[in-house]
Amino acid sequence: MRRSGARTARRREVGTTMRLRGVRTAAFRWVVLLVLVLVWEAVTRLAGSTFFPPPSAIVLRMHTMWFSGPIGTLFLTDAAVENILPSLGRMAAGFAGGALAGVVIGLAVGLSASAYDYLDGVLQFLRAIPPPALVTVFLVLFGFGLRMQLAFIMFSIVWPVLLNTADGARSVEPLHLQTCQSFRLSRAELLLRVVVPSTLPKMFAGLRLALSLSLIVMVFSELLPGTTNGIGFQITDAYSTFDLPGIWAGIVLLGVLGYVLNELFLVVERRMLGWHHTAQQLAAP
Amino acid sequence: MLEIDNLSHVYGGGSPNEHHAIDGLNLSVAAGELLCIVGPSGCGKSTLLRSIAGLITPTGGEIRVEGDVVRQTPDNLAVVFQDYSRSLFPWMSVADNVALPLRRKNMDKRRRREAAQEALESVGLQDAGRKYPFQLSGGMQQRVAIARALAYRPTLMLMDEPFGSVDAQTREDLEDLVLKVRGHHQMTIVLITHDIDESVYVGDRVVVLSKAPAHVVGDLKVELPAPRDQISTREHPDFVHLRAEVGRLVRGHATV
Repeated sequence: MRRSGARTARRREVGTTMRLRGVRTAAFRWVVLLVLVLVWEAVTRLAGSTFFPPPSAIVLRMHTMWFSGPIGTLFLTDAAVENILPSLGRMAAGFAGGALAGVVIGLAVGLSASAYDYLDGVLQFLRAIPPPALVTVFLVLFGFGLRMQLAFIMFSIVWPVLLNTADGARSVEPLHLQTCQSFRLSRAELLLRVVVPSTLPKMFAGLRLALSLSLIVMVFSELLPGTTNGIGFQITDAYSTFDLPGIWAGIVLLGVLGYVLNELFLVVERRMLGWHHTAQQLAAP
Repeated sequence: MLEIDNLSHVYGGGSPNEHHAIDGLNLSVAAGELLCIVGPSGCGKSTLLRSIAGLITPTGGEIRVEGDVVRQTPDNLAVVFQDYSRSLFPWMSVADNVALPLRRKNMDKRRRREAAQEALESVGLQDAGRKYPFQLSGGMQQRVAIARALAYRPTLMLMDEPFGSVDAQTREDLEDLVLKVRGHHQMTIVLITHDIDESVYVGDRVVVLSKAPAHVVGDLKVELPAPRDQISTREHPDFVHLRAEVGRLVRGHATV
């Protein structure tokens, strides 16, 4: 009992100091960001180069181009609705499809020792191929357009999810399996209550990689001919009219999107894997 | 209740490093008995327990639980493993851990929860249901594992060095807990340990195994006054005599 009391106290202590440290680093992070932006502003103004517009000009451009719309559309302009939303839609659909396929196939492969042994080499090979190299294959198969873009995004992101999930499913604690076996749990119960939860930490590592990769390949798929909307399209469009603030606006928007999506992902991960992180923190000396 | 006939098990049979873990082991356990199995480390105790639980298939001989030959895990059998931290599921609350095995017992959610709470009460953890295993001390985690086995209402409970990973004080508490719960639940218990004192203190009967390949070298009845008590039982002349005898049997076969 005394031991557990000490444990709780320690956990509380760890909790408060971590929270304090968290607030301090968060504040510091904003200061660093602000300073960097100010330096960027000063340098670009001094240089006065057409190729590098100052950040204020980029933000202004982003505002007029995308976020100065009527309140009814949440201030989004027609250009935003026509370009940002299709991009997000492609990315979401591609990520969802690829992630689902990766999880399902990954579990199947990971749970069968022979399947894993036979397929491991092939899967590593497929993962190693840089997706852009396969674009022509996808064009031949699907032609230009949405179908090709979705297939391309799914194919590109499925590997990290699949391989990580398979790895996680293979490394379920043997004593957990023996415990389930000795209590004669059904295969479905075993899969749902034990195998999937123990796979989650690795699955999430794969999903996080897939998320950042899906942003990259989404933009890449929009740079191809046959695209008529999307952030990638907007960037090529701005390039063809030598509209440099337009190009930069697209770049900054993609950076912000990537950051926000990653933060959202971390929120979900903390919810799903709270047990994992706490257990690891307590296990650390 | 449990009969073991001429059991033997060889790991890696035919290969150059084949290992005979058990050879010609015979044992019979009566219903309601608390049997302790002691033996030198690495003598094949865990192999024996895993064979009874149907987790491994022995290479020779036969095990019968309630008359049925064990081919897979028998009904109404529960195992408490030594390593509680790897046997409990860290993503489930304590109550969910205890209730999980009840899912195949045709109980609805409310009854599962009640049974789990009841089992937690019987191990003195009535307030721990909503916590997670890693929030508890080692001894409390092993109590949760015992509660999980009890909630399942087994007729045969196997315990594999259940107190091997806790400190001495907790160990004594858990020994007394096992003695207490066996009174409330009608079940047979087979407890494996390498601790000679523990085997005599807890058991109705102590079976001593030889070093690997394991077979039975001693079978002693423990007739100590009930209820057993950590202080007075351990100073009882019969206790002192029995532990010496078990010690000789274990040692004799550990050093040959």
